[in-house]
Amino acid sequence: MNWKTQIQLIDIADQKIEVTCKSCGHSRYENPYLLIKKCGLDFSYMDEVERTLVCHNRMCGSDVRIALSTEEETEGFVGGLT
Amino acid sequence: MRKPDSIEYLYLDFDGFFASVMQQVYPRLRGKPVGIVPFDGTRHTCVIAVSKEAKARGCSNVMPYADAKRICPDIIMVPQEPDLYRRAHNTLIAEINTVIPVEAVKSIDEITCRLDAKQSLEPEHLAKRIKDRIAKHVGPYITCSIGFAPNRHLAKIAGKQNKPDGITIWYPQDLPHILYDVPFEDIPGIGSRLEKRLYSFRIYNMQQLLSLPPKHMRKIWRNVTGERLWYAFHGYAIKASKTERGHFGHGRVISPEDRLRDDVKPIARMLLIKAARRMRKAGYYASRLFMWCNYRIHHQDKAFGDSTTLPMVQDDKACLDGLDIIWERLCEYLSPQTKIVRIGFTLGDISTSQTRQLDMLLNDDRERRKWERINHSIDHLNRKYSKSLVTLGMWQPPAGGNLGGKISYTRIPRAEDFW
Repeated sequence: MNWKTQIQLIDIADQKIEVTCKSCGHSRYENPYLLIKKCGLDFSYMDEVERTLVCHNRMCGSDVRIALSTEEETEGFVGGLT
Repeated sequence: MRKPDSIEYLYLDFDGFFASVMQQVYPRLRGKPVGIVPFDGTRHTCVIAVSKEAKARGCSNVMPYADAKRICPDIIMVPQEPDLYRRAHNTLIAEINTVIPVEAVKSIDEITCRLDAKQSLEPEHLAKRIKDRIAKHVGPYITCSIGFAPNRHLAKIAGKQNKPDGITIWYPQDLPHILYDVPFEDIPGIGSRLEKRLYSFRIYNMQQLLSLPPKHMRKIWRNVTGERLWYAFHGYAIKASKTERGHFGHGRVISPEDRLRDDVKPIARMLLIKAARRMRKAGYYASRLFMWCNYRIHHQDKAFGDSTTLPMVQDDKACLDGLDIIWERLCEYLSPQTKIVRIGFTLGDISTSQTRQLDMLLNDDRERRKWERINHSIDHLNRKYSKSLVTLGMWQPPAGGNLGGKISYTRIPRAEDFW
């Protein structure tokens, strides 16, 4: 029961999914919105999404590991103020 | 300014994050003092981060290797694995987000969250849920300290009071006297220089500092930060405003076998290309390139720094042309036998594509567009194959690897930083 079994694809439409091949290490980013549109994964949990996706590297097609990735930068400390 | 009458923020700080992640992944390191070093095979470096066990024996982060070995002879030094820390960070944030939404990521091992009314009534329960979740789904060797307070700044200070694996709650009614015994070095915003300045004003502890009026603190700080900190210390709802990106850069400590001047040039090229890639991805253009390096000559450490203007560009070719100009000046200054220990680049004076102003006197539009198209294609191919497949010039990563993906407290590296 980790985060992948509790978050649905539709919950993270503003984030990117980092997809890394467990076999060859090839990594890519998937847009949740496009996955919903293309693959009909609207209400799928992230573990189901992980099982659906495969590596895009030519001749590989192995299982992948997914992680959430945000484009946002870290918020700095301004004059030490948090 | 609003003064909350209950706790509103939590600040979560992982204990010895880099070393804890290594202990979680490598069972042989568990329960032992561990130090993370930039690369294997040299003692002339510093320990980037140490484990809880090493801290308990007197070691600290960013400590010279020799000092750490002297204080704790059985400390195990392991080379950094930044991609592992990045992945751990992403997983931890995802797990915490299932308990409470993360309001801001302050660094790779620090986050802050805003509490709702129910959570502010039961902070211990919330902290336990977060800690249990991390222990169960990520691993018990990664622990965190959590501080609760009316604002982020106080929550951060509170979190530091009970490390490792602690929970500290500072209610509004505890303020400001709960801060009286906190030493200056535990207060973010009071560094060693400011501490000396406080002494010159005959302020020797937090109790004396907190008895001052806000304008007096502004005068000591010589800017508005002093006044803002006064409000933060007294429990007002204040937080740092979001900062704008001002530059893109990369730096690296060179491994001992690559330190001769001419051996450093290919590393410099790769660092600059990586910085330019990040800048392009974020949609910025730069009009100045800065280069700095530390070198060693006759057992003395010295520094060199220089910069050159760029015609508001983002393509690799233009950035590398800038590097050639600076490198020529460096070669006039340093002999080929000089050992360069550290080098770094900053692409500065940046602006977005909507706001950039092209050089009126430099008619490079056709040339620039051509290189931008080439770079666009190169970036596309590299993204598709998830590696530096096509590059301008040779691409031979130096010993130690992780070029452009080094440990950073303020920037979370991304997968492509390691290509």
